Amino acid sequence: MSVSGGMSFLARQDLAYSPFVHDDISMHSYRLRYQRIGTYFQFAEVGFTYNSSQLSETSEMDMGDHAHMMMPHEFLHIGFSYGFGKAVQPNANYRAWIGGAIQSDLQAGFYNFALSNMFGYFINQSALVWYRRAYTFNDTHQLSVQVALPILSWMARPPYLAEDDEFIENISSHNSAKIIMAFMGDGQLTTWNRLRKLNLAAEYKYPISSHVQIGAEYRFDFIHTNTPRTLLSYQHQLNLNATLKF
Amino acid sequence: MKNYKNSVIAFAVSICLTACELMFIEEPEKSPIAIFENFWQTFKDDYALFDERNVDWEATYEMYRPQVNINTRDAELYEIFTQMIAPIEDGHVALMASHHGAFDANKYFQERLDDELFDLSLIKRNYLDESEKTEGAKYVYGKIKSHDIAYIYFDDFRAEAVKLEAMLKAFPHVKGYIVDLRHNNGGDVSYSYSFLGKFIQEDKFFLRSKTKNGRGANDYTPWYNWYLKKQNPYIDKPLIILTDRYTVSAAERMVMAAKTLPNVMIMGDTTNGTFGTKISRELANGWVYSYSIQKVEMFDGKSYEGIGLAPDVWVKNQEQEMEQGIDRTLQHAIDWLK
Repeated sequence: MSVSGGMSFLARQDLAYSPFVHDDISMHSYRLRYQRIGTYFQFAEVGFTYNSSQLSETSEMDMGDHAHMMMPHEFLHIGFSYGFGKAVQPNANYRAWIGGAIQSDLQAGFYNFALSNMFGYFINQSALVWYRRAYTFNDTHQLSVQVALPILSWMARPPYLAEDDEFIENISSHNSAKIIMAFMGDGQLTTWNRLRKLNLAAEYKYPISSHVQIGAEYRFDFIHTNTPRTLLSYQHQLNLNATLKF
Repeated sequence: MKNYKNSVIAFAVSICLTACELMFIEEPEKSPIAIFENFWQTFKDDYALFDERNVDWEATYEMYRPQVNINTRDAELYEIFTQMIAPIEDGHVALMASHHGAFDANKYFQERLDDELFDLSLIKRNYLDESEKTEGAKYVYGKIKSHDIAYIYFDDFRAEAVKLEAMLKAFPHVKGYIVDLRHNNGGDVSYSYSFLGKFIQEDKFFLRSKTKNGRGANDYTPWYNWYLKKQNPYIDKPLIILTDRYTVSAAERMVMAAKTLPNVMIMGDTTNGTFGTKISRELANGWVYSYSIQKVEMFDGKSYEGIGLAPDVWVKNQEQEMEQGIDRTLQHAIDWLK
């Protein structure tokens, strides 16, 4: 079981909301991961990042009898995945596994345009294939790299101009869980023709006792879709981690 | 070791290939000309109501584009933009620019015409029973003094709109209800309809709308029919809705829905005439602006964009009377219900 925290760099362009690229480096990247290596390789992890970005400076302005505040846009990403695989390619230098995973992404964008705020979303359930290699140096240092690609996804995105009648109908319950389910219900099945995703991860670990390891991890998440308008998102996470072995 | 190096190289190459920022679609530039072009083109592509508002956007380009060059200062550009959008006269069209100001393309909002003809403090002071009043920062509801009538005011359709339900629960045995939508700024349309469901015994079609979904002039979603859905318990009591020129957007949609109901009367002044859902966008210099992206037709098949919904009974407050503590419109509603 490992827990990690560190930096998140996000660069994101979603034409449903803005023609501009919103980027930010924040210290809000957190991940909790459970991993079990036996006959089979299993992992489950949940991650959370938060970034904010704005083109203008924060300011407040009166319009009639109302004050409007220009504030940063906010991006909240929550991800969950469970993977299952088996060892392949026995080798003296490294161990390798290949497997499948399911991944849920809930990415919310709070676009604060002062005059009116808009809620953006990218909700995605994917079936992935992944490949992982782990190297051990001097019997102590461990380095793992993993790549994951979706083969089939259920993707929910906002309409062309972010809001339409279906969107209004979907939010009319005013209940977050129901709204998310309604958005998902309007989603569609996609493959690489409509949604291109890539997850890369590298992890370094060093044991400080028989039960505890410390280290660092890097993760890269890429999303590109043109449905209904271009969303392009690059996210790099650099975290320090601590692992408890039991 | 060779395998380890290969993995690291492959990993690094993958990141470089996918992280290449050239894949981003080119952003609008920050020069005055590029900002002008972005602003004008976005309206051309997305704005839904040029026909209803009688605006020739191409002519607007011909008139104002020559006034912008690479040396145009922000203050000048702000003035040009406000002149461009003023004729649209849409309560959802606005521009907000740090250090320069904020501009509403609707004369009522921009010039605050008749703004002083509504005074909530007067109503609280002179009309509401102090002992049965519930108040928050943006709403107030309670019983009218000496009358078996419940009254509610809230200033926009966001969380405050749920107080409509609270009022019904608090006063189930009154003779009638007054919902004051004067100076209601609208907000989330999805809050507009549910309350009225208790005043009908069968679902009612009340409007249809369609939204821009492409850059072409005729790129819209199919018409979407909106129905009031009946809700229990049915309330067989009269409801009066008060309106004025500041009753806008989601509040007007509620009025539109109310016009289908037999027990509802609209009193006051004509509404603002702004119905389509709005969105906002930002410019390269950090300014933000908003505009309508929907066409809306009432159940009678007509668009009331720029026209507004006329009340069943036209009443307008008078300044002299207000100085004496009288809200003529509210008094008229009370007299009707008592």
